[in-house]
Amino acid sequence: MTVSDPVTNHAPLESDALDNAAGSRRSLPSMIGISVVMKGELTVGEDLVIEGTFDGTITGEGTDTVTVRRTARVRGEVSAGVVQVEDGTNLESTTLTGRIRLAK
Amino acid sequence: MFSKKREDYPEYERSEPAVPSSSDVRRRKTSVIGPTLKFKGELSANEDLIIEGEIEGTIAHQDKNLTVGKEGRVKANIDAQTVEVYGRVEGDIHGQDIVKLAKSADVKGNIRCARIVMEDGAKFSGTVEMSQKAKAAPKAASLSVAESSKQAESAG
Repeated sequence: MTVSDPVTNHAPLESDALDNAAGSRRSLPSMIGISVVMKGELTVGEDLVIEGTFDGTITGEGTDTVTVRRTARVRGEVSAGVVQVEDGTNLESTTLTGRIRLAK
Repeated sequence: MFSKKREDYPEYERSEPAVPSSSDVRRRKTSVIGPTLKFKGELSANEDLIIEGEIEGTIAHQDKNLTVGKEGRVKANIDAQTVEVYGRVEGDIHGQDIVKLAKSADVKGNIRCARIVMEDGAKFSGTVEMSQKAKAAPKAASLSVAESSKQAESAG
């Protein structure tokens, strides 16, 4: 049974729905979108896709894949089990470490 | 004053928590900081952002929605259109529209926003400043929120 707030007459936040939302988000792939700008140090223990701008150090653990899309602008160091770089990507003063794959 | 119905608050309705599915992420251009990601530095974005990992530094996230997931741990000041917190935040939160703290939220810092929703069980230590910038925010909702904020603060 849902009890509305006596003042606003609004239903309260649905905790279960929020929990489920958090659960579904947990399975979402890590994605640094095209409008995101990050400057600093990043460590990652899962697959990561970069479409935005990153300036700094990315360290991947294990055999995970860091994919750098052609929309990305990466500067610094990228180290991961697999570093996949799309053709045409702007890698300015970037050091890639790991198994490097070039993708179209 | 208290007899208004839910339908009278379309603005509030629209701000109910969105539940993005996996397939929505790409279509909605949502960035995701996964649970194993740890980032220290400066982050800015102009798209929806879900944080399930650790962020330490500064977050400038204008005009979009920012969600700190249940596993998310943020040590940074946050500035976004709407801010939903299910995890831990140490820092000040500025929500240009609304700030929502779920029952699993643990926030240490000051909150400045037009509207706020705190779910029963949310942990909060700090102050709340309600600005007048609310976009047609209903008076009744704002009042109730302010009262519940005070109750939360007085309860410790």
